Amino acid sequence: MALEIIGEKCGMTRLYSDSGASIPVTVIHVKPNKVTQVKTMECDLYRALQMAVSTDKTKKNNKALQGIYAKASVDNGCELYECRFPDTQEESEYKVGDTFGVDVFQVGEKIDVTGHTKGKGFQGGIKRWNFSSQDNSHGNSLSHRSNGSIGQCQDPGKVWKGKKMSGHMGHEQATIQGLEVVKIDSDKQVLLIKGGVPGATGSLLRLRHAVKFPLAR
Amino acid sequence: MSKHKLITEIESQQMAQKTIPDFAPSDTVTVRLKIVEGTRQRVQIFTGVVIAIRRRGLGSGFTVRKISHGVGVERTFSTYSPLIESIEINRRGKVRQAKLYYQRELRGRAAKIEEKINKKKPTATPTE
Repeated sequence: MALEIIGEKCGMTRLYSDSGASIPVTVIHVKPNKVTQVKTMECDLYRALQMAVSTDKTKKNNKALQGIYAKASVDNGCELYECRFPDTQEESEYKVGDTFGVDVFQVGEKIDVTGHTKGKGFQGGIKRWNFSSQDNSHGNSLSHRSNGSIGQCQDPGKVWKGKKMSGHMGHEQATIQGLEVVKIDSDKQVLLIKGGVPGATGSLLRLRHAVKFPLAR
Repeated sequence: MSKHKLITEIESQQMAQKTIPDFAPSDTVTVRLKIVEGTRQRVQIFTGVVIAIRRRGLGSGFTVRKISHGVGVERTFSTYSPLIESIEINRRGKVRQAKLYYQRELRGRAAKIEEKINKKKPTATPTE
């Protein structure tokens, strides 16, 4: 059981169940996730699994990364990632060269999916923070979608740090928890997950067993 | 953006399980729908004129309109839903629009749709 795997978002479609329900599903393609290094407490002062997954891209890596890839004999276009071991798991279960795919998960299981949301550019407070818009009429002048008041008076005489305002929105890491695995196709290494996941088609997603729905193992 | 190859595969696999007759807007169709009531399953029949077709592969659907007890009733179906037992074409209509929403405004004779009759061209030109 790998702790975490990486897959590529292919887009969404639907599945009709026998009872006629239309289930919205996200299709995720998983290429072999290969263990490149097992980090141990003795050697690295923390316990983690370093894995690589091919992305079909050519990357210019520095010598240090090239070394890691060469040592694990994976190609240079790989995406490298790390996941920490929970206290309950022994690192001796894994060794360099182990590969994992969709079979890590089971049908009906709940999983957490992490990705990067689509970039929305510079957005106002209404879209970015769900602010209310102001009146369209009643004498309103040039202030329909503006932010409104941003603070108090002479005391404190400043705007609090972290005040919600306009700014760049999207393209940030987001995790959706507790998504159900509807179907697994281990021949094609395809995972069908109920509901939407963050990111554009073609972006990489990190998939792991749901934190809030522990599996009875 | 075109669909991902894997998604096309998943969709065409599901679409291959059903054969949908080639009906068009303005056709009168009978849709036989499976309905589950508790443990019992029965078939409901809905007959009417197709006033709209939405072609989206597996996500396709169509709207059927009929006049029931003087009241217009419209029902939208998912073309590839397993609940649809069969779609039968009763009559071909002849219209120029793809979406027949104007039917909602019309009653009686004004709402009548001309039947489409396939006139075969004579193979040999008649000599006079």
